[in-house]
Parts: sequence; structure tokens; C-alpha cells
Amino acid sequence: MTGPVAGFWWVPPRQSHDERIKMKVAVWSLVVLLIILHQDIWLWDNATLVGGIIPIGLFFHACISLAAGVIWFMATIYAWPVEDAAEAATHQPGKGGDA
Amino acid sequence: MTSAIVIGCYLAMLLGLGLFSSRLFSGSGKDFQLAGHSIGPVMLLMSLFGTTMTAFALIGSTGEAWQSGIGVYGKLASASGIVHSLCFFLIGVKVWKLGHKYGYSTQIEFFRDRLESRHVGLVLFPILVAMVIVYILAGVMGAGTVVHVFTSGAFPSLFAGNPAVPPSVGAIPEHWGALVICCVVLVYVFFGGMRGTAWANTFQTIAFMVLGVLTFFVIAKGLGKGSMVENMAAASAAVKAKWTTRTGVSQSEFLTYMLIPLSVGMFPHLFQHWLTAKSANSFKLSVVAHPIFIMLVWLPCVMLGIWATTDIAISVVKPLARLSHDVASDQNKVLPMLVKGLSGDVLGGFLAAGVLAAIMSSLDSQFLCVGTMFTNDIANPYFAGGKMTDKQTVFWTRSFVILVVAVTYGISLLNPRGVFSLGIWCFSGFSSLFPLIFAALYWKKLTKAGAYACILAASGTWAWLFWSAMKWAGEGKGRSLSDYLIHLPIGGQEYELMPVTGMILASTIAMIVVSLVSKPLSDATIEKFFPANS
Repeated sequence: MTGPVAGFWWVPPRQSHDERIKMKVAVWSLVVLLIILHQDIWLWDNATLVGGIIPIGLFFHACISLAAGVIWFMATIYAWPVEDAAEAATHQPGKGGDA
Repeated sequence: MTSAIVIGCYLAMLLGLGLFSSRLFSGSGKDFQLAGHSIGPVMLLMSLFGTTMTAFALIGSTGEAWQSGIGVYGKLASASGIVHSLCFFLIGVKVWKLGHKYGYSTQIEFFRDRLESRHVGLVLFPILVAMVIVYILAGVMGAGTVVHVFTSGAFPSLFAGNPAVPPSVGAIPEHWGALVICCVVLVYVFFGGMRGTAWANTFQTIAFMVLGVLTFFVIAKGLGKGSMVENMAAASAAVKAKWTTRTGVSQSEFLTYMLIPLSVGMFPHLFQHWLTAKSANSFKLSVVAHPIFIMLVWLPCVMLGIWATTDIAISVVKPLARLSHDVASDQNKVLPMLVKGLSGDVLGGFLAAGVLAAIMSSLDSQFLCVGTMFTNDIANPYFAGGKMTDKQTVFWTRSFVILVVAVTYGISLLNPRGVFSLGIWCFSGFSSLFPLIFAALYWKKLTKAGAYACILAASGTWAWLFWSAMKWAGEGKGRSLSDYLIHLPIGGQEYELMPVTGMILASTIAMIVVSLVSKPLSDATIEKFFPANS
């Protein structure tokens, strides 16, 4: 999905301008989908236990948390403002070095 | 006594860490307030996570799950996982960029510049500080309670307590506990500034996450005589459907609860943390890991909360039977009772340290933030003509931090228990100003008058809804301010909405309408914040 690790983070493969726009739209669509899924009216009164331990409503929302991590990971790769990345690469921190 | 020793050792380690970090202090105002923009990805993640998680993440989440079931996870944890990261992404990175470019340390410095309004601080400052003080007060009082509960019986010769309430005998009184915690936080903030705060936050965040998970496994093991998995399965099977579903909350309330985490976009202490980042890229780890960290802390706590409602838990932890779902304060006793009942003093001490870590990792940022705001937004522009030296900046920030600690501790001695029910109102207030920060960063047509209209509409609706909530709470026994909802009839059906919905709607409409009809900002300001080539 991604290119090599640059510094401490992943960078996307080379893409055309149109491809970059498409990926941004895809990422933000996933964020919207996540917000819709968060409402999960379909499990409102379902008391099933997943694995005999976790109520399915809670399990679903734990999955929402994990999915949020994955989608935000994609956002940092495909929807991160390009100029920030460039700026960060040239930025010299102030006194004190790495805290 | 063992618990008290563990807590004491933890606080001593924290002091050592704070004092050590002060050795890297360069002496400049920016270094004291913003750690010289030197915070890398890992420490930024720990600082942001530690600052947004309070004692509620451990004790409150368990108690709320015990009170009303698993719905609390969706209302607060998974919603925050989405919305907090959204705020870091959309607001935090942009704020960092502008703050780094133009040298801002506080929100008001940014708004003053962005809105071409020298005095916007006079309107925003009292609102922001009042809401942060409520937040701090809840933390200080909560810390005192934790120390009191977990040192029960440790010092019988020093603290006689009330023999009619056996747990109070030998326990460090709440006001002494709160004082110790305030002093510890004050010392490392005073000497270490933002760097000390970031170091302490990192240490404390690791502490409360590890100790929270450890506590979960120990309690799960103690719930029965089988293996841990068998015990968990047996306890879950015994939970009644009311706690394993969300039948107790309406869908419209659940939906509008998602507006509460927007408060993160306007927290002044988070604003300051964002500005400490070494680069915009430092935010990436926070954006991704924040939802997962929330899950790691909240999921075990919610499971413990629902298990505590079962006969299985009550049979092994007898004091749970004394708790009443009709007494609001009882829910905060659930986790301490489970820990005391199913683990030894050592783990009890560690858990207390974990809860204190969660409280202190928010308190330190808030103390430093209010001190910074007093210095940069009031003292410097109005009393020093904007010409404060580095030495003066550090001096005044430290002085104001001491003042804030002293004042909040003084108020806490009056024991205003009502502050705990103000929490949700405090968050709603910050959320109602979210449209302002969002528009300031993304909408060129925002005007000075539009911004003032937004602030006034947010404060006005907040005050009106709060007054309505007080009236409603006074009309029925057992009603809490935090339970107040707006009832909206549409098409013969009534929808329950969180009050924050009305506040955000009013502030957004006022801001847009007034901005569109008032004098636009100068081209120079627009070019400064929205450069044509970006």
C-alpha cells in the first residue's frame, strides 16, 4: 500500500495529481462512513456475547476504535498536507534538542 | 500502609523526573511555555493522550458502565477516537504551522492576530479560564478523594477519621491529599515548565495505561475459581441485558453526544501542547494511536463496570451490595471496591498511582496553560506594553501558576461537590466555540464581528440552557445537571438532544450571518493566514 518508511513515517507511492485527489476523497469518505457506522442502530438492543465474553455492541465499538486508527493512518499517508511534510523536513528545532 | 508507600514512591519519582527535566531548561520564555518546539512524536502522543484522559477514563468509565451499561463506550470512547484525531488533524497541524510561523503561545494571541482585534482576549479570556478552572477543580478534588480512599487504615494514629464511616479511619483526609498532589504538580511545572510537563505526562500516561490493564486481569482472575477466561465468560453471562445493550439511551442523544469531543479543538491547554511539536509530522503518531490508546484504557474498564452489577461480583466483593444506582456518587466507588476486594495492597497502591497519574497528567497542562494565558494575554499586552523580556515571561508564568494552584486549592476547600456535574457543561462550552477555531483556520470570510457574534451566541445559549437545566434539576429528586436534555418535537415524535447541539447551532449561525453582513478583514490579514500559493 505504501512506499518505504521515510524518517519515522510511511510515504505514499508516487502518484499523479488526479490519483492523489482520488485517494484524499477516498480517505475522507471513509471518515464519514466511520461516523455513520458509529451510530450502529442495528445493534442497539442486541445482547449477544462475542466469544462468550464481550457484548456485541461493545465489541462493535471497539472495532470502530481500531478502524479509526487504520483510517487515520491512511489519512496521514494520503491526505496529509504536502507543504507540512516539506516544511517539517527542513525545520530546525529550537534550543533544547529533542525533548 | 503499603498502598500509601506505593503512592508516596510514585510521587517521589515524578518529582525527580520533573526536577531532572529542568536541567535542560534554556531560560527563555518560549522554552518554559512551549519546550522550545522540541517535542517529538512519541512524547507528543503521550502528552496529548495524557492531557485528554482524566480520572474519568479509569474510575468514571467503570462507574458509568456499572450505572447504565456499555453505551458509555460509544458515547465517549469510540466517539473521541474519531473526533479527537479529527481535531488533531484539522486543527492541531494547522495551528502548529501558524504558531510556529508567527510565534504564538496561546489561543488568544492567534485570535487577536487573525481577527485584527486587539481586545478579543478580554472577551475570550474570562470564558476560557472559567471553564478550565472548573476542570482543574474537579481534578484537584478527585485527587484528594483517591488519596483518601486508597490510604484507608494506613495512619490510624494520625488521622482518627469518623468512626461511623470505617473507611475514613486512618485515611489521609481529602484536603491533605489534594494539597500533596497540587504541590507535586506545582513543583515539576514550576521547575520544568512545558518540558517537565511533557516528560511527566509521558511517564504518567504509560503508568495509567499499564496499571489499568494489569488491574483488569487481576480482577478478572479473582472473579471466580476457574481460569481467567472462564471467569470472564461466567461474569458476562450473568450480566442483565440492560447493561449489555444501549436500551437506556435514545438514539438522538447518542448521536448528539458525538459533538462533545469537539471540545478538544478549543481546549487552551491542548492548543499549547500542539505548539510544542517539533514538526507537523510529529502529529502523525498521535492522530493514529489516539483512538487505539483510548480503547486500551476504556474497554477493560467498561467490562469491569458491567461485571460489577452481577451476583458473581457481589458474592466475591461484598461491599458492592451496599452501592445504590440511585445515589450519584456511588458509581465512583465501583473500581476502588473491586480493586480492594480482589487484589492486595500493593496493586491497590499501584492502581491509586495510576488514577493519580491520569489526574495529574491533565492538571499540569492546565496549570501551565492558565499561567501562560495570564502572562501572555493579560500581563504582557496590558501591563508591560508587549515588551516582556524572557526573564520576566518565565517569572510571571511561574507566579501565575502558583496563584492558580493556590486559588483552585482554596476553592476546593469549600468542597463544591457540584463541580463534578459541571464537567459535561464545561466540555459543551468548549465545543460551542469549535466553529470559531474551525472558521478562523478555514474560512476567509470570517470577520471580527462574526467572531464576537459566535462567542456571544455560544455564551448566551450556554447560560440559557444551563439556567434551564438548573430549574429542571431543582424540580425532581435525584436529577443531575449532567442529565439535562433538549426535547425537540418533530412530526409527532420527540427527540432528545444534548444541550451542546443547541449551543453549536446558535454559535455557527450567528458567526456565519454576522460575518457575511459585516466589514471583511484586510487583504493583508487574509494573505497572511491564507497565502495565495498554498
